[in-house]
Amino acid sequence: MNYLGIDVGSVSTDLIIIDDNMKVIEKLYLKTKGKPINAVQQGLKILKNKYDGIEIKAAGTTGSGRNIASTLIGADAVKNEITAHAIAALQFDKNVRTIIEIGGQDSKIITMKNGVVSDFAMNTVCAAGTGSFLDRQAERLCIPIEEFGDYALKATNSIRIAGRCAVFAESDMIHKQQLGYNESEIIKGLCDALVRNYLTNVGKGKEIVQKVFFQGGVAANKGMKAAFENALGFEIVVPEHYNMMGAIGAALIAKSAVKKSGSTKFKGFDLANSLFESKSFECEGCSNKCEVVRIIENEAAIGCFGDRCGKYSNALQVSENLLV
Amino acid sequence: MKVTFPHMGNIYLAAKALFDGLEVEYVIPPYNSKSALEIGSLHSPEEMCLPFKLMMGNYIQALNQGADTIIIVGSCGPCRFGEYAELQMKLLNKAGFHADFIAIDAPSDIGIKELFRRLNILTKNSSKNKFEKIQVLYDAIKIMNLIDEIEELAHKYTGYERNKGTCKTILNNCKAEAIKCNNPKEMIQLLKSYKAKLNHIAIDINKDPLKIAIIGEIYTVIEPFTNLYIEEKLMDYEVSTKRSLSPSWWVKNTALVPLKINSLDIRKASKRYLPLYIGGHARECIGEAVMALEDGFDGAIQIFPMGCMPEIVSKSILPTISKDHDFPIMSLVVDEMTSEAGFVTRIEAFVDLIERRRENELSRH
Amino acid sequence: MKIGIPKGLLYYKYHVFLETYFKEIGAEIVVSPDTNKEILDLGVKYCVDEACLPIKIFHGHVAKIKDEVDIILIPRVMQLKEKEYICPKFCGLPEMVFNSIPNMPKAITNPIYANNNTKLYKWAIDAGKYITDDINLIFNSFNRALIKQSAHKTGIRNENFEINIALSGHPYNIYENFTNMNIVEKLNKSGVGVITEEYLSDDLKNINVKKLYKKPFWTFLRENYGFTTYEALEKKVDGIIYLSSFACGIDSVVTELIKDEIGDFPFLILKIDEQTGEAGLDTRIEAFVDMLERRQENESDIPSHG
Repeated sequence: MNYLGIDVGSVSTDLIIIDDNMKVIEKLYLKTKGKPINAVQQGLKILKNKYDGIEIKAAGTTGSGRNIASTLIGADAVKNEITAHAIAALQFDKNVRTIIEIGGQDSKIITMKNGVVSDFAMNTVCAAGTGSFLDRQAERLCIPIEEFGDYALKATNSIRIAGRCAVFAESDMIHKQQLGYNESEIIKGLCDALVRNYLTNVGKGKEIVQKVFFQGGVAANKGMKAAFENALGFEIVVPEHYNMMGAIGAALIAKSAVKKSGSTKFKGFDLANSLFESKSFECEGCSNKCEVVRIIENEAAIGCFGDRCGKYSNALQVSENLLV
Repeated sequence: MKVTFPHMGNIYLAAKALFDGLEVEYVIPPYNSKSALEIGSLHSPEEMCLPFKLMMGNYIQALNQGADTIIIVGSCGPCRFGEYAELQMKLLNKAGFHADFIAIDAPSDIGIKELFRRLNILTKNSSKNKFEKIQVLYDAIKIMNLIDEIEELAHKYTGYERNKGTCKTILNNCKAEAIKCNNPKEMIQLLKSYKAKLNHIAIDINKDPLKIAIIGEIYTVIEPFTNLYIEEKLMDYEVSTKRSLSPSWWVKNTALVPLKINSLDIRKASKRYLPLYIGGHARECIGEAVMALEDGFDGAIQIFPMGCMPEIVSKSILPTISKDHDFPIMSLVVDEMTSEAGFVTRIEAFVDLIERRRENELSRH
Repeated sequence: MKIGIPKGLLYYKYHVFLETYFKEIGAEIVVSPDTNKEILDLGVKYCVDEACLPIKIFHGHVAKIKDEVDIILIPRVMQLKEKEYICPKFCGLPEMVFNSIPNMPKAITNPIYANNNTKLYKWAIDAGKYITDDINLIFNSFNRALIKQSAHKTGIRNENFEINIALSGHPYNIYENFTNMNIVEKLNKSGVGVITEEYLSDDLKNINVKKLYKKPFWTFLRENYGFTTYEALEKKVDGIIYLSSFACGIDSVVTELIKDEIGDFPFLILKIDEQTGEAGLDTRIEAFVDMLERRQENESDIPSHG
């Protein structure tokens, strides 16, 4: 039996297929590039070529684009990324108590007690300390992001960089470069600053209890892992599929949803051949002026979002019911 | 004279009835929207709080539709709200708009004579006699109370309804029709019928819905645009919600303040964590959190605008309450940058959190 | 008994009173050191993120000395003048501190109404009881502390400078040299004299305050608005610098009202938060002073008998 999970984030779209034993059969990491529909479809195309004919028992979506993705594929479960991350982590290790998750544009902390989420927080104001910010700084320093962590580990000293705000951090870094610090020291300083910022902002007032999982794209960065361990004073674990945990969680949630409902709503890999389009318009029905997005598959509307009164989305549901 | 006023939840219904009854010309500003916020932000200091900016948007949109007099209630500190009128007058002037302000401040601050003088500016354009004016005021207050009750019922019953969406539909229809009424009496009749309707929906009393208290800064908990329609969203998730702060609560509380017998329950509940009034509604926020946990709620969500001085104090106290009683509380800060995606994720995750906590507890018993 | 007094917020204005009073009633006083990097870091670590820098720094001072003392003073300043307030965060300061910093010692948190001496004396009794039962001692110490405080002149008035500016803002921003990066010294060095609101009488401050639609209910609004607008409209100074904490709710109103009243009179708002870089601050001050110098030169080109 196989289960599909899709995590549509602002930066990346991840697809995963797992089997009953939690074995990851396939994982795909694609750039969303602001076009979630394209990214999902592209992913399905790859899966279709490779796995045409395999049976998907359940499909789930998560991430900021979870609703659109769900409409496209016919998901059995649509869940927010916090729950998805927690469920995936607990599946791998039921002793996990804290998850540090840093993704493309947001960062979160999730704490768990007795196998359920007991508290969580997300970054409030700015993107400092998230993956996009690190990418940008790597680019500025002309260092491939994959090697960023190694540079940090090479440094013997750390320098202090203001890290609360992306703009300040960047200007402070430039300033430190002008003072003649080397790249390693600056990168280590940056990692330390981001960790400090994470702990005082996202992690403020949260008890970070072991065992800690470090997830999300940034977990690949050894410098960040070391900086966290240094600040916390104990070891943290980067799980094998650290950058796929959201998608894995979505697949797991879908699995249990189908257990309840009996059958999957997944429309199959053939979707790769459908023609999807999204059209947005401002509804003039009342002064709320909702921005409505309509998803169209092969010229038939399959989903509507953004209408607060339900004028469009309810109408769709009714026609769907008639068809059944 | 053509009067207008800022939005705050359903208060426009009572205002409409009041002006209809007095036969004073008025403009209801377009509902709060992105464009109201954009216009308001353009003419407001950057670090001002969100309600200020939205109100500026309301005024300007209403002035563009022909309004010339703005009516606003006030307070005298220590929270920024008390200075709104002063600054808004000056900023509108600077932006080239001409509007008269009628600031309804408490008589203890401006004197009863001054209060009547200000109110008289409003009512002198009415052809109604004194008795009729009082009657109209009475009706307007009644309408405010009725719509607040209807909202409260809908938010509560939504967790028990047999057919999903019943409460939400009734509430939305009610508001849509109320705005079309021509006079206070008609609106009262309509609201009463909707209240009755809500009291007679098909309910499953065996349901035990999740219950969340909505607490925090008064404007952002009442005005749905600022909190990205959180109550509506929770209705979609079939969660029963309760929010103590409402326009009718505010009027009643303000009236009782001079006698010092306002909100006795809140005073008692907040005593351990915040024994004094510090401005805004910080003490209410703390008291409501404690009352919610005592009343068996599953959790509470605090909402406040970025930079809100009193709520920053309550935000630092809430984690202790949460820890002391193992009671989930989430704080949400809203401003014009709030992204809907992140906001919804937090709300959904919070609902998940309390739902799974409950399942967990049940399975362990 | 050792009493801790954190060197933050209104300490700068009332330290003479506080220190004298507690010393006289027999307490041993531990004042936290001048603000430094460590204190700032402690404050940022413990304090709720949304708070302003002065509140965070106060948290830092508390955290720094809390383990060395038997009892700590957390002044809950409710009012300094009749019908006026400071800021909601001052009223809830003890709650903020106690819910943010772990393992706190006992604390004096009684509300301070300093609008008249009777009310302030009530505080002195409540606070003094932690130290002594001797009511006579309390009474005498209170009076001595009051006398010393009133003899203690705060405020800055530099003389013999070509260019002068009014430096305005909350006292803890003006006298906290760590966060304002020695602004007064910087200005003096670039040839600019400074005057602060303490050197303007209440009567003169009230001239423009009375013109407001609403009587101000914040002490800092009345003082700073009254001071700056008088100095500007009467051309007593060449420019105004307003030191403001980032995200300060009160200053978002005050600075806007000042701008509205003084028109195009030179006015610089310097925002301070934990990110403020000295280089950026220097640039702003330098540019502002340049502007004032150039204005003066231009004006002196115009015949004085116009």
